[in-house]
Amino acid sequence: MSLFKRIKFSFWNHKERVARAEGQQYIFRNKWKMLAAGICLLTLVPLGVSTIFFYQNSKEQAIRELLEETTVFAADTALDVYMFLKQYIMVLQVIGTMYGKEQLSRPGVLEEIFASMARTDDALVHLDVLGAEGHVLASSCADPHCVRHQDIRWIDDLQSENFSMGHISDREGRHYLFVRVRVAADNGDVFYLRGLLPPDAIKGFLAKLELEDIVDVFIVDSGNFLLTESFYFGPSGQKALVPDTGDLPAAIMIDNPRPDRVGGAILFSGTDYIGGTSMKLGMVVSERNLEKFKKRIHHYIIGLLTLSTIFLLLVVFTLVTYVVQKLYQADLRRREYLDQVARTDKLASIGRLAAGVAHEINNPLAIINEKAGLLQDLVRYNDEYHHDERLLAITDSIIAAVERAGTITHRLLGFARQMDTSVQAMDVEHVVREVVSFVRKEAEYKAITIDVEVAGDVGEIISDRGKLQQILLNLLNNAIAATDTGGRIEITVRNLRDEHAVALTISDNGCGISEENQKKVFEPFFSTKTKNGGTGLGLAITYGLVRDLRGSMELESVVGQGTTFTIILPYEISTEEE
Amino acid sequence: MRVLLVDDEKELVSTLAERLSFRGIAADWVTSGADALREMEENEYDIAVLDVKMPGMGGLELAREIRSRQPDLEIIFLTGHGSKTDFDEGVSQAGEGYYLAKPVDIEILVEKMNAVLG
Repeated sequence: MSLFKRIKFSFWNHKERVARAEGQQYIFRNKWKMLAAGICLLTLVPLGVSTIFFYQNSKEQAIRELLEETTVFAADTALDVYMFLKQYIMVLQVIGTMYGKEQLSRPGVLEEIFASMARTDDALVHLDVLGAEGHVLASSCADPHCVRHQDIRWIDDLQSENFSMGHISDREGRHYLFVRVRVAADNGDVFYLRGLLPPDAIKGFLAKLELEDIVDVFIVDSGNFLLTESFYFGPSGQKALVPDTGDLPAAIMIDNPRPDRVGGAILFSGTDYIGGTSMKLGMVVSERNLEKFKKRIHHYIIGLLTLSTIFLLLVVFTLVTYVVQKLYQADLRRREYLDQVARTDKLASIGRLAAGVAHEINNPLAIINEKAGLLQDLVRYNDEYHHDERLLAITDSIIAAVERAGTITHRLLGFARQMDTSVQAMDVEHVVREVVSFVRKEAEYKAITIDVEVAGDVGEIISDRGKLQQILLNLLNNAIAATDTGGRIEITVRNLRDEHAVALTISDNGCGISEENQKKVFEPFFSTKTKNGGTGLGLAITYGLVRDLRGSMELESVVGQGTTFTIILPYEISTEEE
Repeated sequence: MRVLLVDDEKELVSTLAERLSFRGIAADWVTSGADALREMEENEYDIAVLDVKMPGMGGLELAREIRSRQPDLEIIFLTGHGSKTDFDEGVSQAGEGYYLAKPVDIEILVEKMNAVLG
């Protein structure tokens, strides 16, 4: 609130009367509110709509992200499985290289090796030696009833691979995964070693891979048939729903085949080849993660919305405040201009009226003047009236009254008459001192001191000397009239370099002008001295003259302390302007 | 000196004439421009004192007419109005200082009459 107070602008508290509304209204404050509300609506509604759109699309986005993540999981997990198998591959390779084909084909050798290997944990459950053509040369297994596996009809590309993987079923229909390595002896002999992997070890290893996000891990063959048990897709031999087209690793979204059990309506299944074989690692990621992703996207959207809203509001409020302030200033200037026009108009129309009235009055005045004069002449020149002093006194006072009326009408005419300006260069100080000398005598009667202070850098200005004299004379006369005996009048002249103008101030320590009257003193016929012969035209005329000189006039006054008139006159006025 | 006073205000012009006569100035008066021209054909005048604003022929027009007939006749204007154009023309015809505003002090008028005749 305090910040608001600090940044709020002058229009905020501006009040004025408005048509069709009671009391005064904060019109600019209301404008500000309307503009701010309108623009906020215009900017925030689209923002809100797009946010809602993105919010609603966040599920699709979350699905996309989760599919990507599942793909990455599948690739990582396939690599983990390959690393697990690698230990068996290493064992087979070591055996193959150490013993060679001949030795391994001899009866009893393989059994011996197998027996010593079987003592370790997670050992292979079956070991075969195969010739280059796929014939079984020797075979050994942990189970005494183990089958002697049949010969293999090689597929060419398998034959050339150093490592391959496959599955095989026993009589009970149990699936075994096997790894097979190619061993090439120095003499060019090639043979193969095949080891069946222990199902429990694989199961255990895959179970270890099932983490919080990954709810099912299994191995499938190239046709996506399960080689290990899957929680969602059933025992080995069943078909698993994993991506089976395009490049791997990949992930798809599937309907949960066991929604009654675990994991919501949908699942994400991903797969990748294990170590370049045709065997694939499959895995399932639960829908739980979808919510996690959605939440993350929602946080992101809401954060963005909040930031954009704050930014937009700041921009809107700053802009609206700026615009309304400019409007307010323009309006103030317009009002000032209209006031000026109205004042000028008033002066002009009053001038015309005054001239008309003065003309009409001057003729009867002249008649009164002449008739009174004639009376006077009769008394003076005609012995019949014996120079009657009383009659002379009466006619004198009639003539004096006519003269007084004449002065007023002449002033009215002077006020109305538009005088030509005779523009010339002049020394302001000289003009001021000259005018002061006119009124010096009058000031001395009231023991008023008049001080003139002119700043050193005030030079010549180009203006109308006669009008400036008249302005100064009027103001000085007013100051003398307002000042009590023993008072003081001060005239200063300053240079306003930046404004290309000079400022003249005439201050008195007289009676001052009340605030109410300050507004009216420049109006024609306003006078507080009507009883003392004031016409109420002095300051109106002065004001008009100052405007003629392209100047401005201001008034500061405190009742009982005095009055200061400040006149600002430009350095130069051109005659064309006039 | 013989003076012709022209003003549509009969009361004014007749009184002025009478007052001038007290000061030894013979003055005739008429109340219109047409009368003034007629009067001038019958009598000789040194000075014409003309009101600027009169119904029909105004003072300035009358002055132009008089100038065309009697170029040496001196003219003084009296006016109740101070319009700038009237003032300019009056001054250019009668000369600076011979364009007097009503009500005029008779002594000043007499002074101007003496001055204009040199």
